Amino acid sequence: MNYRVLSTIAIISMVFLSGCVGHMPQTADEFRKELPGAFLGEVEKFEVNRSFTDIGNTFQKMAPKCLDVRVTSTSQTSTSYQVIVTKWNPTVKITNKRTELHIQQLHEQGVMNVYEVPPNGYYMMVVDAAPVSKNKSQVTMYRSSVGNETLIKAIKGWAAGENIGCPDLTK
Amino acid sequence: MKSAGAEMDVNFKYWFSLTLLVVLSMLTACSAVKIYPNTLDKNVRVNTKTDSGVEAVIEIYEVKPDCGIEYSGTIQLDNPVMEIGLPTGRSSYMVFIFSSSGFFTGSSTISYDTLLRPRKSIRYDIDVSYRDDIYNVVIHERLASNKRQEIEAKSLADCKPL
Repeated sequence: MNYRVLSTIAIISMVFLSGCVGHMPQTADEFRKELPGAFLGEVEKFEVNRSFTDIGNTFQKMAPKCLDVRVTSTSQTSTSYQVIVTKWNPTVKITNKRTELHIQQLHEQGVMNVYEVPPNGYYMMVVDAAPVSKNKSQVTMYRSSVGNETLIKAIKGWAAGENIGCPDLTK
Repeated sequence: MKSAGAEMDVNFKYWFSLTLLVVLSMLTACSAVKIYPNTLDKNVRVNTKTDSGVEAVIEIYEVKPDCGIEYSGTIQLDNPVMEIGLPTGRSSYMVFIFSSSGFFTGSSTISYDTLLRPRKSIRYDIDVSYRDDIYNVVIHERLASNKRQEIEAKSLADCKPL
């Protein structure tokens, strides 16, 4: 599925999310709280054999490298031509309790923002890694149940410390 | 004495050759892709692994003292191992571009860029990969002990004017 279709699905799911609660989540906490009840919202949990601080270090290394990007997509039909410019904004937080990765998308062109947009854009994914034991962590992904397969695969790789690379966000 | 048919044949060949030359010249002029000269001592080894159907290239730019950049040329990473020569003692700006196209997926391009300031007499390894829609570029400096030390990526915004 190409990026335009996925973006449209993600945006629609966000609209449903906002429709359910009357606004778009303005913080990561609001996103965590409101996503489980939202249309196409999914909370996925899994465990990895790494400490949450190691996961945090990988997030800190890879998120700015891979997700601090601007993606331009175009769609053209016989009667229209549309350009969507999206700035991706990742944030990594490491506390003594958990590691957090927030991914936000700021549509700079081609998408009408009906709802109030948080400073770095709409939240599209939040990932938490919390300790289970010294070298084991539980990872929780708050995300849409459709699309973003490449991004999800990459972040799972970062969490597990395997096959580390950047997701091709045009896919 | 030449026949009319032979004269027309000569004229056709002349005009065909001229047209071909003009078209080729125009194509060359229109294309902004310049092959990187790669004449300097080879100090960088590029190891490339990509899925079939994915084309990888490096655009190399010279970084001026004011942090402005000037395009030096492009290297097509069409061999698994390639040796390139970058100038030492000053920064080069490298843009790694992965292009893919498919019948159902259309074409797409994603790029990754970094600054690299090679040191004299030091060799570097760049591991470039694009597998299953995951790409990576990792640069290592080869130490005297033959161990490798990863070099963190630096964006052009990190450049400080001299």
